[in-house]
Amino acid sequence: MKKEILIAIVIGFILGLIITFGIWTANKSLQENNNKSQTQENENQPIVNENPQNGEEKMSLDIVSPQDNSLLDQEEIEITGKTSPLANIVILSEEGEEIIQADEQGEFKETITLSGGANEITITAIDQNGNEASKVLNLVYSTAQI
Amino acid sequence: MKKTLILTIFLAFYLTLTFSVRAVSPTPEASDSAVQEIRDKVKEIVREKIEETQKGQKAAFFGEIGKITDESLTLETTQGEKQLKIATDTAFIGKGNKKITLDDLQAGSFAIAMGFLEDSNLLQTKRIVISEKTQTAEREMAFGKITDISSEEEVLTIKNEKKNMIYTVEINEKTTITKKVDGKIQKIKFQVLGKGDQIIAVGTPSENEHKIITAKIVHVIPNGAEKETEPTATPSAKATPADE
Repeated sequence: MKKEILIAIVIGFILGLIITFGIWTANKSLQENNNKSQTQENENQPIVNENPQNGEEKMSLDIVSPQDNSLLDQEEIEITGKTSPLANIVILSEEGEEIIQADEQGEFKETITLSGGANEITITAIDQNGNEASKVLNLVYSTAQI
Repeated sequence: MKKTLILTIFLAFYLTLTFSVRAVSPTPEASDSAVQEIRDKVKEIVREKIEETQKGQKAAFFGEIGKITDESLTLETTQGEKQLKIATDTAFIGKGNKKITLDDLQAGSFAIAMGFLEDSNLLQTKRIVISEKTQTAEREMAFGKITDISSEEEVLTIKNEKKNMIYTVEINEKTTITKKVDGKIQKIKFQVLGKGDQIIAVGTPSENEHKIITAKIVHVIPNGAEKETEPTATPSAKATPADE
């Protein structure tokens, strides 16, 4: 009796494995077919670059402070931001140019001098591979009370 | 007896199938479009939160005056059109720090508007200052690898592989050339530059068959991932506040 039950369990187990193998094989061939058709579609499609500037990869550049369109009453301000680790940062302001480098976390800060009134500050990050990202900050320096 | 055996076979079959199918089935992956959708939603929420935070904050816009009405005006800025809400307490300051009125404003004049943000494009304006548009010398930045050096004329040819652009970088006595040496940025001489060095040049642009940059700063990017600890020093003039 015990022997027969054991044989029944083994038979059930083997049957289950056979069916599972069938499902697994079917899944695998379906996935391969999908991948093939996706590759063919990609080959037929024209290559579209996400970045319009001749093959540049996307690079992030976030300016943490000051906010764009800020009204500031201090002549000297600190620009802080985050970009790719160790990227070089070029800051073009009304008063001059600065080149600094972000740290290993991609964080950077630099003090710049504003000119009275309207200031357009262009910040560009460039990594070792020549990928670039730019942001423009419009800032106004005025000591007038509003 | 037969029933017990059939039941045992069925049970063993069912359990094996259930566990093994679960094991071989691929885990569901989020599709690209779903990820993009989530990203867009997060961006939208962040944008809304930023706008909420900015509301009521001191802000300023500058640009050319567009339409003028009794209660508002538009400003054509580099970021698009901005709306300025005018109130009875809005101060108008003309050139030479003279007080003027709304009627004195002219379309096309360069103006700086200061006030409090109502939304990212709408300012509750407290002060409008008419001034000359800031004339900054045009500057351009070039990044690339030095492909040729003319030592006599002190001219570098650099190529930006990414943009497939060739720049001619002219060096003069006012050009500051820097490089990080031993963790510190130091001024270096033109003669130290060599073919293959990667540089960033910032200066005044002009053009012939190549872009020409008369460099104010040339910064040599160290090979490898070294960390610069100090920014390059740039001479700066004293600024005067727009306190008309």
